[in-house]
Amino acid sequence: MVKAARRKSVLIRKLWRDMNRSAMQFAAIVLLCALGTWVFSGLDGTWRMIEVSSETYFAQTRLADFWVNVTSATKNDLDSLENTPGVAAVQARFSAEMDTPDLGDGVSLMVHAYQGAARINVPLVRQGEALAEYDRRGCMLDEQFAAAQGLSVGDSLTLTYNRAEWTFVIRGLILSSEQVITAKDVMPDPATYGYAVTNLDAMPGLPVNEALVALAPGADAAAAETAIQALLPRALVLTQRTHPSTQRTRSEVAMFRNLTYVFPILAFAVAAMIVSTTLTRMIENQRTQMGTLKALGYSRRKIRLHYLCYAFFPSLAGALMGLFVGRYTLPDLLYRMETSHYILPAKIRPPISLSEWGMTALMVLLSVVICLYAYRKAAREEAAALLRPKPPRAGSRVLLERWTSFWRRLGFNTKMIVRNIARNKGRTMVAMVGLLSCNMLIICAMGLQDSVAASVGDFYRGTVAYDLRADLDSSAGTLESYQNRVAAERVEGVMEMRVSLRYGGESRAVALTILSDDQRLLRLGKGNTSVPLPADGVAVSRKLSDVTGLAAGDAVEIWLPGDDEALRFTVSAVYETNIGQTVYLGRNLWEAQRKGAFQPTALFLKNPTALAVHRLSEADEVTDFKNPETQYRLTMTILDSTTAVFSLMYAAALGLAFVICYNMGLINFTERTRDYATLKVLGYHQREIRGLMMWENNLVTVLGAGLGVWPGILLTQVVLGVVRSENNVFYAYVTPVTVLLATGITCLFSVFIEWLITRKVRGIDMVEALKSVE
Amino acid sequence: MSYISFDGVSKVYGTGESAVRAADGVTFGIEEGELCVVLGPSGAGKTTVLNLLGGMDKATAGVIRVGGKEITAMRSPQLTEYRRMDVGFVFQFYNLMPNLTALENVELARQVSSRALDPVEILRDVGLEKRMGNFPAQLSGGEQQRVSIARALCKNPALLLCDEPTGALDSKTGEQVLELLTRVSRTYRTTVVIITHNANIASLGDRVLRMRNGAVVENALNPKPARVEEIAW
Repeated sequence: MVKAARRKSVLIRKLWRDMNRSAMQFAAIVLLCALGTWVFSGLDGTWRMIEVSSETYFAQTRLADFWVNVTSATKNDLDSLENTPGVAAVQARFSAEMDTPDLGDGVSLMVHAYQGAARINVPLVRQGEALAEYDRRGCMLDEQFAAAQGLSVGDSLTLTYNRAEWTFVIRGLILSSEQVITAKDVMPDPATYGYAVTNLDAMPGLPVNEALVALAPGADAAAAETAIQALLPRALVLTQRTHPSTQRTRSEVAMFRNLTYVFPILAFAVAAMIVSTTLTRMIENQRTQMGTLKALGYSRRKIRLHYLCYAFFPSLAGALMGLFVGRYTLPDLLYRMETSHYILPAKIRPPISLSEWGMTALMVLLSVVICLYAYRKAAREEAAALLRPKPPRAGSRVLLERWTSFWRRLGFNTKMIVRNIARNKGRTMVAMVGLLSCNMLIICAMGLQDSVAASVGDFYRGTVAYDLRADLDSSAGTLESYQNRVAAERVEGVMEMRVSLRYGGESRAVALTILSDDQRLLRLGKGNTSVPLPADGVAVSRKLSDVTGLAAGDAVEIWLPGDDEALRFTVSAVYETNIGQTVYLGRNLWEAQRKGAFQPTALFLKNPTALAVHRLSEADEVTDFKNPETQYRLTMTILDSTTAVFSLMYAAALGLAFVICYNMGLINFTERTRDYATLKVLGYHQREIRGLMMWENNLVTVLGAGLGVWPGILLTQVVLGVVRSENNVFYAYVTPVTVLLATGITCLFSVFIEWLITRKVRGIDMVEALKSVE
Repeated sequence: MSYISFDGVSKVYGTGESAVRAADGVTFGIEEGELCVVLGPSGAGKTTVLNLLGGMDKATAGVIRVGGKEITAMRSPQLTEYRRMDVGFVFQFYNLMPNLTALENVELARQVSSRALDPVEILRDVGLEKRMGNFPAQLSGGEQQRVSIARALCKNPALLLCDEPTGALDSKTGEQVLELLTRVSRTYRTTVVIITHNANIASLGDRVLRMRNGAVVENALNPKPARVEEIAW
């Protein structure tokens, strides 16, 4: 017993000392295992954090399952809704955008006036107090909006709607779970748009135009939706899937979930590969010691266990480190970025998921299996054979030498390098994969930024051909009247509204854009060419076609707000525009429907004179001017918040390249120290030896980085496919400049690592390195 | 003054209590063109002396001069230049580049020396004209050692330093290698220093240095050097 205990402790001591001596290699294993689990647990933690934070919020505030929009709901309608099977509660309210005259032009609020106490979509009070059920003078205001406008509890707020005006006292500042994203156009802008909650009693004369429906737990949502639609055929029913804010929040979660299966798998694969090379090398170096242990009479099992510890402890330490570090870095960083657009009240950290534990276990298991394999290969021989050092791998001719005329033309050094590369195929390959991955990630990061910029730019700088857009309110005149009096190269009008699009049993809230049939200021054709609007049907935007599956020839119904009769059309074309879920309709066809005149909601102006702009800006009905270039820049600010993600990608790419190339370089250097020492003895100067090493490294770098170009472009496409936006179509757009720049960064970085390694030449001790093997 | 002179040369590895004096006040002289055998048991300091002489290591104290140049005063780049132009090294375990052929290993020396000889010529001279395209792993120990000597000779060095050149060889191939070394010394008038622990080899030298415990205990001229075939292994 005593003997056994002592023997064990000696082996453990040996293990620790071995680890100490090969600290760099063990550190590399720890780091790579950490990298593998870090990316996974980070992204997995991110989507779970956003999910649990938003779902908890939804549950706490009892987010509606359906938003039933009607012109005016009767008591009878509401009772029938309440009695629909599966429905647990119904909340009646009035919802509309209202102006705030005290806060300046272009500022508006989405106002929800609740009938009775709020039971569904209950506002979350952040400051002040909740609105009492019978309070007719008070309101609650969006916290973000209040902050942007400098309003606080106790201040007054005036709202106007259809010439009626009310003034309220702000009782509390709130967040609303149905307004996780509060955007009027593309981007949330709390300075100009927010929401407020009041009691319906405070606004006499306004109808109930919206019923919020909460389902009983376990109720059949689809059946309930069908029943409600049957009960109120004219209603526009939004579900959690089509309610913009809720849908965008959930698609964010889905996006990160999808990403969890792109990058981590990549990181995992690379980590596994490097761990494999490093471990194999370390085990091989232990060859004679294995022989000694065998000769001393240690059992195979004991020796195997000893060497498996080489993999087990570092990989366990690394994988756990990655798991925990991942949970406290990426999710917090990405959550903070996300919540710059999406307002959630509290960050909730989910427990470590089963898949995170699983990935950690897999990393350890993989390392142990690799180690076992390397051990088996090394320990196959008899003890006596193991005790002899392994003869150096013989040089051999490479394939290239058969091409004698070419081979002869190569310099001596080049020949030597080519043979070296051929001799260490595995290691060269790993280094190449490292550089390949690095370049791929950098190209992807740059490509994603370029693609978004190009797609958004394609709309605002390509599709849009006007110089200025003037938004008009309901008091606008006819298009012809503006064309007669506004001095510009071209004046066109557009009539826009939100409508319910129904097709094949589904419905969706979309934008309807009515344009003159011969309009030219929106170039909707392929390659941003002008096309006339279809005379016989509607056209849909690319995004709408993508999300609904609608194609030319399909039948659709358009329900105008508050109308009780559908407009029926066939889809005649799909327009390749990058932004918006939009249905395009020609003015002639619109007027043929007899649903009212073509009254522009905005003017498109090409080359307006300064005077014309000035006159328009003084007109009462002009509410806002929009400049496509400004719109472009505004949209591009989305990108600002994602900079952290891209920085992270660059960091990951360079980190990966560093760990891999430094590690491989070090193994290479250690193994060839004797060769370099011989060169030193022969009288090679340090710079000549470094030159040789660099030549070799540069060749591998150029090859590796070059091979990373195509995967980089591919990855950009894959990620763009995964990171879908509800409103935009993004095409992969990777320019040669991007490729060159990324490759340049990769190569520069490789040269930096090479500099670190080749510096070691100075330290080669010729006497030590060439000591006879005794 | 001798062509090679060691004057009170010491080499101490480590410091304090763990210091090891590998060479301790070594003083001797060797004349130009001599074949000198340095003899001594293992640990006597032979290799240290050879390394110091070849500019592969720096002395802790003392002065080493070769052909009027003070090696001990040289800095690293000058030492490299010295090894490059003046010294040829032959090792016990050959130290050939495994992925270069015999010819290419010799060419390696020509890459750095401006007065190099023709590698093919030299390989022919050491009897390897038929093995030039072979890699080290395809050559026997004796053949590998001959490539190593050819590589050293290719630089046309003034000084050829051999560390146990026959240590890893059987007697037959060992003889061939020694034969080659003596011939080089006689034909090219190259100063050759061979270190060995094999006393039988000593009789080949024009001069024999005996070392013990890091010091030279005897520096004797051999008026009648033996021929290789005369020595007994």
